[in-house]
Amino acid sequence: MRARLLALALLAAAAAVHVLVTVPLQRQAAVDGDEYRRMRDQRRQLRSRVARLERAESLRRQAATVYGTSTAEDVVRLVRRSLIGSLEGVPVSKVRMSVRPGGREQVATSVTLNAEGDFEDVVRLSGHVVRAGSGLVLQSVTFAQRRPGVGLVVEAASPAGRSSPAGRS
Amino acid sequence: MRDFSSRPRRRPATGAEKVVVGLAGAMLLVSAAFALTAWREGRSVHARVQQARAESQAALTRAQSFETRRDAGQVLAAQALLTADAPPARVVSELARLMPGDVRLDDLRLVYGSRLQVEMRVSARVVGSYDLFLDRLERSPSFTDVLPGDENREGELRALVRAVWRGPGA
Repeated sequence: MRARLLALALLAAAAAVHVLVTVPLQRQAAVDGDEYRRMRDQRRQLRSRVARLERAESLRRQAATVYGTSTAEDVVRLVRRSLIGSLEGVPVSKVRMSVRPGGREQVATSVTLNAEGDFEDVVRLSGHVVRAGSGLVLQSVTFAQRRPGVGLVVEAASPAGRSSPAGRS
Repeated sequence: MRDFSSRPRRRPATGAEKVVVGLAGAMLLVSAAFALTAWREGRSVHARVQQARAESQAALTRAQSFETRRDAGQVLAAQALLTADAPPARVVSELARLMPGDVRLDDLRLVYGSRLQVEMRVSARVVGSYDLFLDRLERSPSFTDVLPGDENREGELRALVRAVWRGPGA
């Protein structure tokens, strides 16, 4: 009889441990698991956003350092020379360009380039003007139908050398 | 020595009862082991949640340090990124890929800001081709916020379409 009572007590204790301790712990772990997956996804998205923002800032600084130590007049001269270099060997006509100092905050020079040519040529030129190392970033690009060919208008700017506080790490 | 008490003598546990007690004891041990495992697992998951939360917070703070700047430098940074990742040739090539043979790009304007806005005038001899182009544009992973504008469906179709680049550089 005592042995049976003891067995019952042990079984009851086992059931009690399961129901009162294990099950609530498992439920909490499941809730925490869901929360962890949510936080992990959020962390991944935020890291990707930060990586993108850091890359943007790094590219801006790279562009800014191309003419970083030059005077405003030098920058205008150098940007103009870079534009002329971009046009070399490109079969376009009716070329007009304007390189102006400043224009707005943190901008060293503002550039406008007009040209006409075959579609492929003007598309290639629009990218070549702002190639890596040119120190220029695009503001806008317009391709308009002309007869014959296509007209191109590129608006670009070279960022000034001052770095921004958030970019410093 | 003889037992003269009136209390009935306790029967010794049978072998079967001993086995049942043993099994019950084993179940208690197993139950305790499960509880311990669940507790350890819970602690580990909780620690991971705390770590992920702290790292998310740090990343959010870092992102906000960039995004709360509303100066020209922030726009220039976005333009520098879009210039590198979405040069005109890439956007044009993506548009060309979506255009049925009948649809022609007449004018195209790309505005590089915090996002790359695309504005185009297209023409098509067959109206259905333009509809197909719009459908492809809307489904394309490279573009978002597609907004059809003025549309002339008399004779050769001419229409204005706006969209936003959503490629990796967007």
